[in-house]
Amino acid sequence: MHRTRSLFLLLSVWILLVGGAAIAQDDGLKLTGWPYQVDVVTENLGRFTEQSGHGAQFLPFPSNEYHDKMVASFVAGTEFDVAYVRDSYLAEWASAGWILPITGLPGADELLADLPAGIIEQMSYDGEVYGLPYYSGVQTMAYNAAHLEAAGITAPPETWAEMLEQAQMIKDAGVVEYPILMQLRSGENYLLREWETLTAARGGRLFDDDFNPLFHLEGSAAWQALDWLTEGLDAGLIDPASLTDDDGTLLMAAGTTSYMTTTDYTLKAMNDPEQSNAAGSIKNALIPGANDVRSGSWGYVRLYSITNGAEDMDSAWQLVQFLGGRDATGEYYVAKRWALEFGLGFSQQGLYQDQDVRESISGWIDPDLLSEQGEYAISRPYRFVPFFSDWEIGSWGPLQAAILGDADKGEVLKDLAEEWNELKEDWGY
Amino acid sequence: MQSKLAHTRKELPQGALAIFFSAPAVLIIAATILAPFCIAVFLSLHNWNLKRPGRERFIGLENYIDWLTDSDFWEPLRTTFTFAILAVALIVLLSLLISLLLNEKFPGRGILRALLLVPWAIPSVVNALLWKWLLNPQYGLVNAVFFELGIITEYQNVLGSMPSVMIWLVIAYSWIHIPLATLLLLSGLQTIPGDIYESAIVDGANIWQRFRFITLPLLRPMLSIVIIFEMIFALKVFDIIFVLTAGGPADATNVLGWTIYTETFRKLDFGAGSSIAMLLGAITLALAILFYVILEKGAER
Repeated sequence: MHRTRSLFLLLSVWILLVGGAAIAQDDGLKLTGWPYQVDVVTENLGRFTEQSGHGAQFLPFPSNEYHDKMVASFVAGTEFDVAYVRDSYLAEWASAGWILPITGLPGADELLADLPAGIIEQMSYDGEVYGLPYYSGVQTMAYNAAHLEAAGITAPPETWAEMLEQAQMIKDAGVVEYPILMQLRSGENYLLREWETLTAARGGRLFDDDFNPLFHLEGSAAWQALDWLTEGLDAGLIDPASLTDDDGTLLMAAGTTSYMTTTDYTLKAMNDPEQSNAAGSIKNALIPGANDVRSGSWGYVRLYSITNGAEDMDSAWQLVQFLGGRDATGEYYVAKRWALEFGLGFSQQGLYQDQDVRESISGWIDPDLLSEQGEYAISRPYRFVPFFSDWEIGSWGPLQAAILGDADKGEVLKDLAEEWNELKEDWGY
Repeated sequence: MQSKLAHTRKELPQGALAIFFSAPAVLIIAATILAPFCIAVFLSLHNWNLKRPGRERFIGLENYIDWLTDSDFWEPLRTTFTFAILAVALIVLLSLLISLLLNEKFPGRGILRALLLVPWAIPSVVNALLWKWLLNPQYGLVNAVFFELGIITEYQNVLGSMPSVMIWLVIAYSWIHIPLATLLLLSGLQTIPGDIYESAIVDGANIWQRFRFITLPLLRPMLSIVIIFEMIFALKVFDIIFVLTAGGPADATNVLGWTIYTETFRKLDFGAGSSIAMLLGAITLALAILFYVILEKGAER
C-alpha cells in the first residue's frame, strides 16, 4: 500500500514537472498562413532563428478555410504574431485593426523603395502599408500549344472574338469538347477576378478612381465581357464546369482544356511532368484584347503582416523583414527560394537582376511575354475599400444568373450598381 | 457495511446527490450550448459588424425586421424548404424500403447491416468531396457510367444548372443520412410482434395490407422521430453546399445555412448573421413541434 502511494506521488510530481515545463516553454514567434510547402517554410524559419536568435514556428490553416479561421482567431484574440494576408481581404483586416501597419518601422522605407508602386498600393490601406510581399505577379493567359497545333492554329488568339473562333476549330477537330475554361464559380478567387480580367482586356474597369460604378453603363467593357461569356457558354465553347470548378489549373494539366486565364506561377506546375499530362505544351500568351486594346490584366500580392496579437513588435518585424525582405546577409533569401524552387512570382526589383532567377523562370514561362503582360495590368483601388467584399459576395449569384441568361443583364448590373452606391454612402466614401 | 451506506444516505440527500452527479453534464451543456446561444441572441439584437469596430450598439429587433422584409431571406428560405422536403422524402422512402428488406431473414443480412453503416461513418465534408469527384463534368464516375450506358451523349455539368444541381445535392446529402434513418426504422420494425403478422396471414391479409394496417401504424412513433430528426438536419444543411456549389449557380442552392455563413464569416456582420440563425432556429423548432403534434394526432386516431 505504502509502495503504491509512493509511486502515485512520484507520478504526480513528474506530471507537474513536465506539464509545468510545457507551459513555461517559450515557442517564440508564431507564424500562420495556408499550408503551402510547410517543410520549406519551417526550414526558412530555422534560418531566421539561426540569424536572429528568435524561435519561430509555422502553424498553418487549410487554404480554403484560412480567412474564416483567422477571423475566428482575431475575434478571440489571436495568438499569432505574423500572418499571411491576401490582398483581397487586406482592407477588411486592416480596417478591423487585426493587422498592423509597417510604415515608419526601422528599415521599412529601404525595403519598400525596391518594390513597384503598384505592389505597394496593393499592400496599402488608408495610406498605410501593411506588410511585405510573400509572392506577387500578374494574371496571364495559358494555352495548350498541342491543341492549337492539332486544330491547325498557328498562333494564340489576339482578341476574345478570335478565341471563340479558334475554340470552335479545336472543338470541330475533336481535340477537346470544351476548349475554354473560365473561373466563374462563386468565391473570392473566381468570378469577380475573371470579370475584371475580361473587362480590363476590353479597355475598361469596373469602377472609376472615385469608386463610382462603371460596369452598369450600357455598352461598357464590363457589360461586353458578360455578353462574351454568355456567347461562349451558349456555343458550347466555354466549359460549363467553369461555373462550379474550383481549380481550373488541374483541367489544364489534365489536357482537357485549351485556354484559360490564370496567375503566372501556375504555369510551373502545368509544365511539370510529375504534375501534368500536358507538360511542355502549356505556354503563356498575352491575355487577348478587344476594342483596339491589345491586352489587359491585373496584379496580385500575398503579404506577410504583423497581427495585433504580436507581443514583441520588434521581433515580429524582424520576422516579416526576413520573410518578405532581406535576411541578415542582405539577400532576398526567402523570395529567391520561392522563385527558384517553386516558381512563385516576386516584386523585389533586385531579384529581377539575379541570373539564377532569370534562368529558372524561362524553363516554364516566357519571361518577356510575362513582363509585357505586366505592362497591361490595371490598378484596382476599389478592392481596397472595406465594403468591397460585402458587395462582391452579393454579386456572385446575380452575375451568374446574368451570364446564364436566367436574368436580364441590364437589370442585374443596375441593381449591383445601386447596392454598391448604398454601401459606399453607408461607409462614408 | 449496511450501516455505513445508511450513514452516507443520511449525509447526502437524494436531491443533492442528483445535483452532484448531473452537475458536470449541466456545466458542459451550459458552456457549449447555452452560452453560445445566449451570445447569439445578444448579437442578433445588436449592430455588430467586425469590420466596423466601435460602432456596436443595441438595435432591438431591427436585424430581424430587416431580414423579414428582404428577399435575401425569403429566397434562401424557399430554397431551404425545397431542399429539405426533397431530401426528407427521399431519405424516409429509401430508408423505409431498406429497413423492411433488412428486417427479413436472408443469408448475408448481418454483413449488409454492417455495410449500411459505412456512409454514416464518413464525415459529411468527406462525403461532399467524394460526390464532388463523382460528379465532376470532366472525369466524374457518374458521367462515365451514364455515358457508357448511353443515357447521355456528352459529359454533363450537373452542378451547373437547375434542376439537376438540386437533384444531385439531394442525392449526395441523402446518401449519408439514409443509414441512421434506416437503423432507427429497423429498430422500430423489430419491436412489432411477429404473431400479429402471423394472425394477419391466417386472416388472409396480403403483403400490402399487412404493411398498410400493421407495419405502418405500429412504426408510426419511430417514423415520426425519423421525419422530425431528418427535417431538422435538412433545414440546417451547410457542408455539402459549401463543398459542392458555394450557393451557386446563380444562387440556386443558396440555403439559409449558406446565408448565415456568408453574413457572419464573409461579411463579418455577426449581428445580421446571428439574427438569421435565430430565425432558422425558430422555424426549425416550430416545424418540429408541428410535425410532432400532427403525427401524434394521427397515432391517436
